[in-house]
Amino acid sequence: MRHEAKYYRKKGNTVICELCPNMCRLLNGETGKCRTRTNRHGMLITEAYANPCALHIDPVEKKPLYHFLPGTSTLSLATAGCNLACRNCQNHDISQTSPLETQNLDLQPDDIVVMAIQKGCSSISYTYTDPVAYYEYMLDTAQKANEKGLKNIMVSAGYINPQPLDELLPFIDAANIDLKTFDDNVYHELSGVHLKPVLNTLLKLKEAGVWLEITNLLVPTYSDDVAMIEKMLDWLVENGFKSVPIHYNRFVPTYKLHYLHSTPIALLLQVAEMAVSKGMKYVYVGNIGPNHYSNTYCPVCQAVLLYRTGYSIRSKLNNYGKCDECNCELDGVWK
Amino acid sequence: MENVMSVTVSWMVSGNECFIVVSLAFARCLIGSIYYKNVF
Ligand code: SF4
Ligand SMILES: [Zn+2]
Repeated sequence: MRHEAKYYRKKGNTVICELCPNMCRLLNGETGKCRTRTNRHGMLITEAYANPCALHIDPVEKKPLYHFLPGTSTLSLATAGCNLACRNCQNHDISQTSPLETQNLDLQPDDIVVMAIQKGCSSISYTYTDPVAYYEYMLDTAQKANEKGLKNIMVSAGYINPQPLDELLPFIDAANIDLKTFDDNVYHELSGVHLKPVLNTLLKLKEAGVWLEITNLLVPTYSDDVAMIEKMLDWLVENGFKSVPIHYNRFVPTYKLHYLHSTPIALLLQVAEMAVSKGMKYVYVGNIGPNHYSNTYCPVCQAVLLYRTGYSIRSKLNNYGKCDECNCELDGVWK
Repeated sequence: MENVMSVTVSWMVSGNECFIVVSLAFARCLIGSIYYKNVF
């Protein structure tokens, strides 16, 4: 479905897309790196509007968000396309293609909101591919959802320019941002993008008061260097992210990196311990089945407050998000 | 990115909800976890 795109300018016979730091320069008929935005006779149009190719009801824990309305369902959607090109993309069949090539549903923002309410979801998640690739659809849907009292969740690599992010932020309640590595060369090798804009996005989300969680996938030979992970942690601690949950996830061979082995569990646990010792309050290890780091512990008295087995949860938090044992407040959005 | 892979049957039961998420060995999901919800 064609829709005029936001955030572009014309320069001679070129259109420059200013939505993400890729800043694609497009001649007439050319499409950007994300495969969703095309210069049509001097107008930038997006092919990713009201045509999701993936639509599911997921537990909010799957995003993963562990401190945001636990146990609730979220209507999750994506269109095809992505402004990154990760060698390990597990959704490459929809991310590394254009919406013109996938089988899509026809759902306007209003339809998505009505569906989320009908299905008893507390929120809508923009996920699976990178929602920056369907920015206008996300923005319009998030605005309508917000009017109806639904929450909006963005699961993203955070590769977006500040101005479009500012326009979106008032409608976003929670975000999980993939921080892929802390080495710019590796960032580029692994995902075709750069580190700095992602850090800017993290800072902006925090300043705006959006509930934020971070995912760091440990890809062997790319993002599993302990010294680099330590640098990332130092940056997070120095910049006020101690209360932001961090999810260290195990890599499983996928797509162009099918020849690598999975992340050793011992390394994931080592890194998690390091994060705790650096002062990160909520550290999780994902993709290895239930483990010590699947649960949420009270940061003061260490009582287990949320037990997780897969996506099922047993909570010992009281209704106000306070520890049942010592009554201290747990960071998060609990109702 | 979150894995798109999940087996949901929610759309097949109109008016009610019954959905199952089976997460396999993919990088953003717990291996082998099963999520089941039934709202009738
Ligand atoms: S959003 Fe797409 S077209 Fe625009 S700069 Fe980024 S990759 Fe290029
Ligand atoms: Zn406590």
